[in-house]
Amino acid sequence: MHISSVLVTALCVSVLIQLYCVIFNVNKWPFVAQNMFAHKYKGLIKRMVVVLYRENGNKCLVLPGDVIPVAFFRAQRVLLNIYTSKANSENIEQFSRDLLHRLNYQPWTKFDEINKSVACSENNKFIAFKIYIAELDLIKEERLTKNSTIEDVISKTHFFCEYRS
Amino acid sequence: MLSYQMFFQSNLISKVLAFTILALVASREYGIFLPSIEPIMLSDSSFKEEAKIFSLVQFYPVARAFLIGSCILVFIGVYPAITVTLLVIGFLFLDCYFANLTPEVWPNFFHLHFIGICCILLESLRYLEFPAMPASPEVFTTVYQVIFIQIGLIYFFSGLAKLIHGGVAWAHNAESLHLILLMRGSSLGKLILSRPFPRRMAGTGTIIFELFVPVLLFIPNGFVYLSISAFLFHMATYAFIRISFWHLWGFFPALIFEILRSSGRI
Repeated sequence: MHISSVLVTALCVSVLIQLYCVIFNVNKWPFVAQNMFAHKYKGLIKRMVVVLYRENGNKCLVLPGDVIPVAFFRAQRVLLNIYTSKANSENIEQFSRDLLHRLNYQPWTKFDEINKSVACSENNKFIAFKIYIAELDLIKEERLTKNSTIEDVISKTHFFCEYRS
Repeated sequence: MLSYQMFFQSNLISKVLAFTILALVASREYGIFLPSIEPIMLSDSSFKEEAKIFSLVQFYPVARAFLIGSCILVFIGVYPAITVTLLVIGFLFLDCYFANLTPEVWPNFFHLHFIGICCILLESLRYLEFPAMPASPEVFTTVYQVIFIQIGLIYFFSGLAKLIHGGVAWAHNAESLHLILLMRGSSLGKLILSRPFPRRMAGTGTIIFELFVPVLLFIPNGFVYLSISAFLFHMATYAFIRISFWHLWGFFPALIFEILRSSGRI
């Protein structure tokens, strides 16, 4: 048997597994369903948003990818898994404390699909955050401008959790 | 003793793989954050059971140092057959660990694992003799072609997933594109795709490109056209929505070089 035929057979098996993942929309590591953008939205779109509060009382609305240094598409799921887990509440509180500490004192820069952390000024640190599940209505901002953000299409928010240092 | 001959011992694709994994492993995502959430996830028994997560937190600095060391050795060209194997297995292990922390999210490094396994084969073929399986120069070309077929399939499956799960509406309504522009669109992206019509055109173009780009592999020197068109596609997505997918197109020059070298054209 020639190496080339072994290779082609291995490729065929791999293709069949990938095809299965794509058709049934299942991610089975390391195989991927290629479903990052392959969604059909019905009605309003749900997305997690984070509202950060500063010492002077100002607040800003950001996405999960702006508050933790992971790929933007992984950030929402990380926060959801942590705040809905049945884990020890002390561990979760420690995570929340670390989240604010990281934003205030260890900001990070953009790298690949990891967003830059939300800007924090020297004398105006972040002291609290609230997480909401927002319902987005894209029709509200059908024509985009360079300043358009997710905030422009929020039609309703549902409180999820909060932390205050 | 290191020498310049040593550098050229290993395949150029292995060097790109080493550089790519080094950049990822040295990054903050791999470096600091994800292992820090492991204790939380492990203290949730239901998650632990569902995700089949294994603990790495104590050994994480060692695992990371091992991978960084392997990357450097592969890049220099020290015993490539051994170091590439260690690198690929180490990265498989670490990526599996991270994927398990968020099992619902798509694992986006399949192509790296696939190319990694091909690199093990490429490096091993240089040193090992299989009497029953002779390694001719054509075998190397076949490995490069298999990598290109897999790359073409990544685009094809991506287009197919959009068609199956998003339907024609995915391109016609272009809601995914609209949403991603709001979430991380660049000024240029929001300017050019500001109205529904150009978004619809971009959505349709994306599906057509992804479904038909593997066809290029059927024409002579198609791998060059595929590389150029895929690179331009990724540059466009980077310019509009700041997603580069650099860890895939970074391999194109190395693959083209090695194909031309194995066929005697360089």
